[in-house]
Amino acid sequence: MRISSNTQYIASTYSIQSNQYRLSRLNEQLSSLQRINRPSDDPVASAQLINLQQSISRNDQMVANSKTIESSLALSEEYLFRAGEIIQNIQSLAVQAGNASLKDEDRAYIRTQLQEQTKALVGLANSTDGQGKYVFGGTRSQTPPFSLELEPEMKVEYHGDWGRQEIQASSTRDIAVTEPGGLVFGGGSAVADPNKPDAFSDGNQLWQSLARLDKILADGPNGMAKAGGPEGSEVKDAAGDTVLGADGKPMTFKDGLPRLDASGAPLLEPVLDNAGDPVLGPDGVTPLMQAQTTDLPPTYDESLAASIEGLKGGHEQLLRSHTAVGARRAEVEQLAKTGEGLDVQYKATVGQLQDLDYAQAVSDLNMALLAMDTTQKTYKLVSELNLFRYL
Amino acid sequence: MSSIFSIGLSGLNSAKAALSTTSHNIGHVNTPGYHRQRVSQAAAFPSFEGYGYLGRGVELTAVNRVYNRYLERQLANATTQDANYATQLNTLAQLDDLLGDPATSLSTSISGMFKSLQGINASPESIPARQAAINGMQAFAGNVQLLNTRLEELRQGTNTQIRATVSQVNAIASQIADINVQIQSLSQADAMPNDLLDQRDQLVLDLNKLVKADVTVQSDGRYTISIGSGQALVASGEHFPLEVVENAVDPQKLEIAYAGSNGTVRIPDRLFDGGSLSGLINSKAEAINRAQADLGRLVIEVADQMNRQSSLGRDLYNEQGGPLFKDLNGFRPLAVGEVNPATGQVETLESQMKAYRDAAANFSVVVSDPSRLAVGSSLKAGSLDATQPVQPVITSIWQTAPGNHEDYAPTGKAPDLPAGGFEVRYDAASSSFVVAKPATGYEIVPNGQAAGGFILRATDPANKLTIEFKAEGMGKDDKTFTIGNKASGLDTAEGKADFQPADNANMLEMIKIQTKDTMSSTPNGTTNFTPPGSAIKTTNFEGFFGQLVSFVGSKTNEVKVAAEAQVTTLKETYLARESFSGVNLDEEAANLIRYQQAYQASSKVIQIAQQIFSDLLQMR
Repeated sequence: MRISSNTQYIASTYSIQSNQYRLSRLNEQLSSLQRINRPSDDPVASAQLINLQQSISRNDQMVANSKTIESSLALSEEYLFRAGEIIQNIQSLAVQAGNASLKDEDRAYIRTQLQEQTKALVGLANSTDGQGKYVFGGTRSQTPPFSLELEPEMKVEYHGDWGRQEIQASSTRDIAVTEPGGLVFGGGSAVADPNKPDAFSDGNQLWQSLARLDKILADGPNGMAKAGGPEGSEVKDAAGDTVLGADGKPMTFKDGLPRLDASGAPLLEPVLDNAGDPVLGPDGVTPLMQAQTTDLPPTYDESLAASIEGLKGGHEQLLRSHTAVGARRAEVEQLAKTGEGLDVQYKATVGQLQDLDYAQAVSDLNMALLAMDTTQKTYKLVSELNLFRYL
Repeated sequence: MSSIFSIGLSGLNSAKAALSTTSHNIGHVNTPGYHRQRVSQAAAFPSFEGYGYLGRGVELTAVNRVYNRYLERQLANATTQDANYATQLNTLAQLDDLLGDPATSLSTSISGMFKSLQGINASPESIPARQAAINGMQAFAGNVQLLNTRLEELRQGTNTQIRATVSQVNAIASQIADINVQIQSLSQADAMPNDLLDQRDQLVLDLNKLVKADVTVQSDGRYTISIGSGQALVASGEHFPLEVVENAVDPQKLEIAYAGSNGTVRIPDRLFDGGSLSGLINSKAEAINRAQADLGRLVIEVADQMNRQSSLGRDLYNEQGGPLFKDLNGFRPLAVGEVNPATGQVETLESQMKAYRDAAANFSVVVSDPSRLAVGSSLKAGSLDATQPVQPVITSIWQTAPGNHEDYAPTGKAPDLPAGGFEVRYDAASSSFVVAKPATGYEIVPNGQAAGGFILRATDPANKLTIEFKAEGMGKDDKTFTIGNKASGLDTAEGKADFQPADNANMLEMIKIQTKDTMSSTPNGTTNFTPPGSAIKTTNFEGFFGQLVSFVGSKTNEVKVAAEAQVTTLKETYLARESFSGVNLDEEAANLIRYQQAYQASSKVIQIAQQIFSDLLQMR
């Protein structure tokens, strides 16, 4: 087999070069401690790594969002808790107002306290977060959501809207961080029908009952309708005359009817026959009267009882919102924990794909160094063999 | 006696010739392409002397080079493939590093952009958060431009190399033509100038490093070199130069052509099969083109999706949102072979690539005022009148942009709400929402992917209006809502009344674009980089970029493996030729001694002949 002088040179050069290449690759892996330094090292794993990086990044964002949500909800919860306490104070005030032995000054005193508590409640409802945003305004966060007027009568109105601001807590969950004040506290203190001041509407009971309480404390039992006189006594109208009842005889009080209005006059309505015309009395001119039983203006005690009911309803509404906020906080905590667990999983998968087997790499490096050294020595030895040395 | 003299002389001459050939070989041990030469000697024609034929000495018949045409051809093939793979690997490795570097990875900067958009959700009216989002978008645009610039540099570098290679090819070809002529003029009968032949073969090998060249030997020994599928580069003394011409549609695409009888004839790229020229062309056609096409398609889609959702929202001035990125839909190309209905022109690969490159170069952020980010929704839902109960309430409502670009044609705007908006009623008896006005054409279905969410959409699939809303407090009361566009602007009372600064419904929807499947995969091959319009969208933005990285990675890997195998093949072929034709110094040293002895012996013969003659002369 003939070989030429260049053969040995070419073969050795090739060996040295491939050894150097292997050494430089191992060097790169060892200095970055990664098996994959560029996509061509392992294209399939590189594509997987990109997807994993995307998932990791989104997961981190979700965990960070969860923390933001948690702090916003904590703030709301704090305010709702204090609002609940204020409502409890108001409820005890309302019970005090039912004491029959109260004089007018006592009632005025209770009314002042009530107004102060209401101001505190509205102030809470208008509270802001650290950046000056109104927390309970829905999405109208730049103007105070509730307005309160005390004179001539207490009036509360909601100027915010009903939207919620949401933050993404996971790929399928957007969690609300604001409560619309209208849903938590109520929309306004105006009653639907002014003739039925105790008919509170669902969702507005808190403000409506506060306004009603204020009104009745201002009016007092004497300023409102009262139950009828003693049982069996005669009914006297505003002029002091007797009134003829439906049976033609003078009317007597019975079961508190007819009711007396604020000035003491009995609340009566004419008796109507089948055609709807008033039935006339024996004198043929004055109509017969009967006690008004429908649309009666409420008495102090009735209104107070309705207000206490309304306050209870309003408190329950607040508690419902409070509970909802608490539930969301618990959910967000859970999502944050899940996110952190996922993060560990993702990083473990990335490590599996990308981490270098350090021991293997170091032993490969040693072998490559040995091979390189040997190749170089061999080249030197063989290149010294030459017939011209001996000529 | 005289015959002894002449025989000795002939021996001397042949030994001298052999010695000079041997020293010639020794001198050329390191010359590339040198084939060792051998002197062949034969006996001179004997003379008849009556008693028999007497030899008349030695005669030199030829100086041959040890040459095997088969090995030469093998070596040429191996060289050309090696140059091909090495050049491809060079370009692909740069592309591979560029795309795989996590610092410049587009995937990371897309994530960063959406992260900064998420930051707005916590405080929608905060100007710093919005400014951070704009910065995130600008960082992404900057990254795109960086990547695009590098790809352009790679492309232009490849183009420059192509031009340089072609001019080198021309130079070598003209040298071969000159040597052809020289060899022809110097050839005498069967004797060829060996060194010139070696030079010519080495030139052919160098040419093969640049482009695969086939050699045909003519009867008079001239080489005809042809490339591609038979285009002649060198034919006897003439050389037909190649040119580089730019494509008419896309000046960045270079084509090789030669001057034919009827003008410039372009040679199709697929006919170049080996050599660094083919490596450059292939890496451009397969990898660089694909990378730029995918980049262009990605940015066109990002700009389109974000702009469309943005135009459905309201900003802090309570004005309709504008585009976030420059609109690139004008650059959107079709698949190769499809006809553009507007212009009637057929889409070619060149026009497609040019469109994508222009799109990537034009990608930029056009929104600069943080208050102009359309975070809030442009829809509002309210109670029909004051008699409606407080609950249920609609807590957020927004319009979702259609997913496909095709659904926007031909108006280029999102579908509008019907005139007068909607009236939607919550029916407590059936616990569902119904569209009360308009009476037909729309329906409401619960949203399976979001708790408490509903989708209001048209029943006609051609109408792509989609509105989503969230409602709560559904109980025992019926309630009717009106749904319509918010009044715009802050200068009117209605505008101020409808302004919701903390509403972030539109931004929440925009963020969902990150995980929506918006991109379809690029078809494989080199002739078309646009999937047809009906292709299913299978991946999102970052996944699409990952597909590109994976493609480049596996292509690089493939070429790397092929290149390593080819280097070994080249080495083996080269060694085979060397062992046949190469100079072995030890052998030449032994030959030196041998021919030296022959010379000494022949000179001894002359000395003896001289002595005989002088002995003869001394006879009296």
